[in-house]
Amino acid sequence: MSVVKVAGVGWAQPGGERVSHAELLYRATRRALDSAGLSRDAITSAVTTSYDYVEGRNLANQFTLDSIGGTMKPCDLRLSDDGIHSIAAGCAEALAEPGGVVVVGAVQLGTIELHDDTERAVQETFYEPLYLRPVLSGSSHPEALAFGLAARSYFARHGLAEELLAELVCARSAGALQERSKREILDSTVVAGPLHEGHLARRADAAAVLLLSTDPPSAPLASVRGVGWSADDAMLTRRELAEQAPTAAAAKRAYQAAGVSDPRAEIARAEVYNAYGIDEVMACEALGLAAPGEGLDALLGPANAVNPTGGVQATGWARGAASLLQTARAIEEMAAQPGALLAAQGWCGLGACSSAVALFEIAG
Amino acid sequence: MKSKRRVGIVSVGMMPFARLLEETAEEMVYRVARDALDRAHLRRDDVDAWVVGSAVDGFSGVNESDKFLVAGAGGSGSPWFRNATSGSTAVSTPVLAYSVVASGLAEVAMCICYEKMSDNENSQKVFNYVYDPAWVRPVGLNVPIQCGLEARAYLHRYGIQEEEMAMMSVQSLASAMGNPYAQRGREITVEDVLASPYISWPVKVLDTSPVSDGARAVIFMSEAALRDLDDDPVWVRGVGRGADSYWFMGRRNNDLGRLDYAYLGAKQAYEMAGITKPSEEIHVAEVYDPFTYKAMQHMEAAGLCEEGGAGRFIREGHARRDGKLPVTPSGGLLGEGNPIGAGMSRLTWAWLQVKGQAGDCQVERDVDTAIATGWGGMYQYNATMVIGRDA
Repeated sequence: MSVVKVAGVGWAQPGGERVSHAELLYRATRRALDSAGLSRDAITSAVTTSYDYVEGRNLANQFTLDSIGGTMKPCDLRLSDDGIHSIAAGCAEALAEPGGVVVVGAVQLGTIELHDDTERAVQETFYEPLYLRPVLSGSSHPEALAFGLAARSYFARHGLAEELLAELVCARSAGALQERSKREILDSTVVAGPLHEGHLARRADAAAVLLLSTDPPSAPLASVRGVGWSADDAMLTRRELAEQAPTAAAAKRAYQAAGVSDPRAEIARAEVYNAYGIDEVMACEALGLAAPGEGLDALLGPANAVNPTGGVQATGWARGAASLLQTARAIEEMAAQPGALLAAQGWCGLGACSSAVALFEIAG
Repeated sequence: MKSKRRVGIVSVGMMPFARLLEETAEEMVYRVARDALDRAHLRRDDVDAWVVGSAVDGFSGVNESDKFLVAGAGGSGSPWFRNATSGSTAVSTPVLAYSVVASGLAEVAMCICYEKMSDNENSQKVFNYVYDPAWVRPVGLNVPIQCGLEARAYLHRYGIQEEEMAMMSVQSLASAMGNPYAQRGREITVEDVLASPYISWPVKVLDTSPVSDGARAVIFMSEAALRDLDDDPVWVRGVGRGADSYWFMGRRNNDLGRLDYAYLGAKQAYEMAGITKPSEEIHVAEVYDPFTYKAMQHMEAAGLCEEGGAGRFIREGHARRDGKLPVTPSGGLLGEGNPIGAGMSRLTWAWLQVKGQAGDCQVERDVDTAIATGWGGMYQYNATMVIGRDA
């Protein structure tokens, strides 16, 4: 995997400004191209990702072709997976067609206000309609149910106090616009016991882009040492909910490719999803950064190398794009740590049934 | 091309296309995955990556609908990508599966494309939601309406006759009579087609492929793995993709009648395959044909005949199963049915032709090189794959 390099990174968050999907992704792409000293002509391929129902349109990211400078090029791959999956697919593209520049990008406008019960209706589509969807009746936040079940299962298996999760979310959101105290979290409405509304990351707008190439024309920012991705069936009844098996399988593949045998010792920083709090704990364990049942202690400990930015609990969650954004930011922030390893993880699917891991080595 | 690994196709998985109200998408993907494995005497554990495709989630009413098919496809606990580019899913998804193997990220990749269109009652309403919500969607545009605009531009630009479109339909539906998986094999006449109702002038009902349910599977393998299994390997010799602007009213050539992006996709695939004279070097073509005029546009873009010459090519019988360059001898989407993403059937039939396993659809000439194409997105994506024996 060492042949794929990160030639440039870019991201955009509009703040209070109202911008379109296309404009936001254009800004991220422009920034990535500028950081790599490249023009649009250098782009040879692209992989973007989005979710139709979340966006309210079919083929939701077909317009991205124009935003990323991909017209009249082989830039048609469109995943319905997370941004980290698109890094893996981008590596496949880059390695299958050496020498090109592959754009990996995602955008989501999470703060668009939906009318009436639309948000709930959208989340209902995350569930299979015959067996799972009918049990959602009355839920204010259907997607949280899957993570609530996972959290309950996790705490029951390991005999831990649920309050610890509020402590983690409180720590992650500290100093951010989304900051909330442990008390505020525990006093907020229960959306899917043991998860309260305060555990849930707030939605955000974001676009992020990575430029991958086997032969970048300028000095690379990092190299991709390994990628792994894996899925389990989305049916909750077929899965062990107390652990993130897809993340563990994805990490195993990425580590094998990179020759990582002791992730706790070798990985300098990990950026993982923490949209529901419990997903960060399970991802930490699945990545081998903590033993099963010890993820919370590790994440709350002083030597923690996971989500120093606070993850989406601090920056807000732009579904699909946030993991790419965390990765891009981390690569830039780690520029003074040549040789350091960064692990990036993102999930998608009901209850994180699909996951991807990418392992980067910061360039010297 | 630089140091990419060679990739071949070892097997395909088939099932009949039809309105399958009582069959779930999970059952469909199981059927084709099982069929593909059985044909090659492989086990599920021999596969180390899954790449699946379906057009849009709107048909199923489930976000990330593919994630509920993981177990049915045999992919639990394994690498799993889902690609969705509407009709061009049919070839862009196998191109991604090819890349996963060519890159060395997997040795054996199971590619499954599926669509369950009968789960909703109005596929055109689903397609309306493909369009930009502010400017285009409110107009009520859908696939037949836009195809009418495109077909009109195509016929006007090249002087093609509606009768020649009808001939394509007659040929495809007759060819489908030899296809055991086809939904609409039958003998019809040019007059039947011309007398069928317009759905969007100049496109008529019998110029149009039928809505359908179904799935297809293709197993891609690295050279090292394939040589152990098959002494007559079929290789992926070329892949190409073209994509044009989402804003179809503002494209560079300003003419819906000519698909610049399809010419681009074919050019890339042929350069990779070393093909300089496609009309001579390609022995059979399975082109993406949701409408008769689309088959003709894609024949021209793929260089099977001269630009603007598809009408004459069909009229002179060159595209027939016994012609000099058979086009969609399986019956294509027009005869076989059109479960959008499962249009990957074009690739499966191309492979069956090269292997000499196409049964009553087998063309008379020897086949060493075949192509399959896909088309979709906002009438903006096209993909071409060239497969065959060593040149």
